[in-house]
Amino acid sequence: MYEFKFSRMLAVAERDLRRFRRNRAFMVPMVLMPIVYLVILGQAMGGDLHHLPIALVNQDHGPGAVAVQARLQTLEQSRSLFRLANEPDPATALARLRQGDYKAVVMVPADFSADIARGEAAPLGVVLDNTDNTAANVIEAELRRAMAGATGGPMVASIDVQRVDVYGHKEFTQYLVPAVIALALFFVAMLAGGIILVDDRARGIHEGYFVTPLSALDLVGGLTLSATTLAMIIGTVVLGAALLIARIPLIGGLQTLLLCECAMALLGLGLILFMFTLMARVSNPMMPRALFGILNVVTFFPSGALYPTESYPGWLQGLSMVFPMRYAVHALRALLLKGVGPQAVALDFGVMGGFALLWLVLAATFFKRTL
Amino acid sequence: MSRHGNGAPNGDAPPAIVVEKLTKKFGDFVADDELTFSVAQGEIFGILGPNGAGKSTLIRMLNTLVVPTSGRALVMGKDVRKQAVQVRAEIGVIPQANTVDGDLTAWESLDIYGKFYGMPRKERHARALELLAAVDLMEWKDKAAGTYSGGMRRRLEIARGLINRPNVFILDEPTTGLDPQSRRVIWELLERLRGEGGLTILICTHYMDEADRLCDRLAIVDHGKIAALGTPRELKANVPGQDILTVNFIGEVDDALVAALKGLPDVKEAARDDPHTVRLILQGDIAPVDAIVEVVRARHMRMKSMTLLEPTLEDVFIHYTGRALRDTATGEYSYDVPKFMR
Repeated sequence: MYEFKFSRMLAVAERDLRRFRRNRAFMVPMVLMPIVYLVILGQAMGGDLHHLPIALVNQDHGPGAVAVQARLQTLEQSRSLFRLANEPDPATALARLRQGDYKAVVMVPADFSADIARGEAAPLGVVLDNTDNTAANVIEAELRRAMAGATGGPMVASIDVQRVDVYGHKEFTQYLVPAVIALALFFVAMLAGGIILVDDRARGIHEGYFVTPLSALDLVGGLTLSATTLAMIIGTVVLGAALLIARIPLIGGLQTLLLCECAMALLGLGLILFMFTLMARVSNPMMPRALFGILNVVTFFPSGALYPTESYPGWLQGLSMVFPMRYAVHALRALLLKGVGPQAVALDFGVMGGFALLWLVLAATFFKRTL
Repeated sequence: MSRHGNGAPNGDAPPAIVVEKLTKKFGDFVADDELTFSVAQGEIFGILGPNGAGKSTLIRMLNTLVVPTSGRALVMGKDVRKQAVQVRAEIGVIPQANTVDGDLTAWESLDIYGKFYGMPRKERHARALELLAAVDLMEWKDKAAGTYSGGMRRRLEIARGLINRPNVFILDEPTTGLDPQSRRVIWELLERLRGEGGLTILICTHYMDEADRLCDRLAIVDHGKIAALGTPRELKANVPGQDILTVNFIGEVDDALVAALKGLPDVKEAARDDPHTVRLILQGDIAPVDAIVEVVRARHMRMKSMTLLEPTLEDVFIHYTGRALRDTATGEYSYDVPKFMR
């Protein structure tokens, strides 16, 4: 059992090393993956937040209100932290916050300057979209620091920043639910759209199909339907489990549930067809396995699933926009955490549908119908 | 099992397959070079050739898996290049590689393939039952094909290839890797199909006994060209001077007897196989038995037996293709999916 011969061991090692040398293409993903992780994760998860859209509703025009505005403008101009807009009244600002146009609304009440003049603590309202946990915490912390840390005199030192979470208290686990659903669908797309597809091709199953009257579109359509069905089953189970574990109340009831199913179907379709296009002519089953890690990083991490897209540099924003994951995460977050209706996610659905159609055309075009 | 039922090849009907100057190039490599032949309806036509001769490429052009570079091929009057979908509806194919879906049962496999051809449910089920009985898989029809032996999988592929009642059945090395029993079962199955008539069978093989037993006509393909074409009998007859007569003696054979036998007019070569046996290579169609007996009597020898060996198809094959190996490398790695990943 413990018999050992050095030359035999070397022969085994030589065989494997020769194989790696003959398959140098597969070394590329191995080298690329950590680099892609470094670049994308570094930018997607560790960067400072920038250009967070903030609305200012200024109902007071005294010196206190002017000072608040000046500090917000400083944050906007010096660190590009905010993208500041003025709104005429709280109702309009809050409506736009709920639509997702703003991450926060800063409200300066009518008697703000008068309170400061009397030496009383002047309340400064900050209404936050707390379905974006990270951005909400950063905005609150930066506003407190800007107001409390100002040393321009006793006037600004008495500003009392009061946080209001527009969607009530949300646990971090709840914030993660759209991310895990998107991740589950990515795994299904990788398995059914990539690994199984190429394995079937290598096993000759497709050769059997090709000698029948099946067209490329029949094949791509059929394979997509089966993979999407699998994605829907897995997605629904994960959604149900996540709702129970994170204790998310279904604010919109059955409508929310159905819209979530639509979002999952569109994301599943987009990812599966993207994989079909990518693997349309791949015949070596090692390939989808080798690309698994890279595709996961490229599609999932820049989607805003874990960290707000506002922190991304321009190139990463661009990358995130060409994959449907970003729109699915946005839609699922709005549906599950905000309880919005179909109108609020129509744009996300439209973009995902468009992507799916584009990838369907590309997959059917590139899918090799002959050997 | 086939659409028609009139027996032997139908020479009056238009040919089932017409191949005219069919050429396939892969880069600079010419796999098939201006092949021309036709196959009558109801005929079993064999394609023989060494590895890398261009047989599989020819089969794949005819079953629309590979697009020809030039030339023309018609299957039941339909052009493989311009009417590929219609050609696929006319043919049943057994590819060289095992393409049975191991995750499906035989019944499911036949049912799904029937759906590919748009067959109505009732017809599909009736046809599947008929074929399962024909290939002797009825007992196993509800077991996953992944659990089948090699012979059972091949029989299932034959059933699957016939599900749409094709007019042309194309088999690429259907018995390669099978044990003698499984080969025999498949031969009997193909012979039964021939007996029913109507179905044209194109079979690519490098088993000479298979070709000899099954095929009405054969094409020997080598270096992408047709080296010989004809019935097995014609091909054997065209191999010159290859009849071998083995004469076994009771006593030991001396050099003088060998020399005397070699001197006979119809004997091309004579040599001692062992101390009691002389092997004579003959020229001409008639064995010179009387002359041999005369020579033997004159030398007071006694013969024990005389055996005439006619040329086999293998002799024909070697005659046309030579003895050199035809090793080729495709330039691509093949990869078998490990079983646990399937």
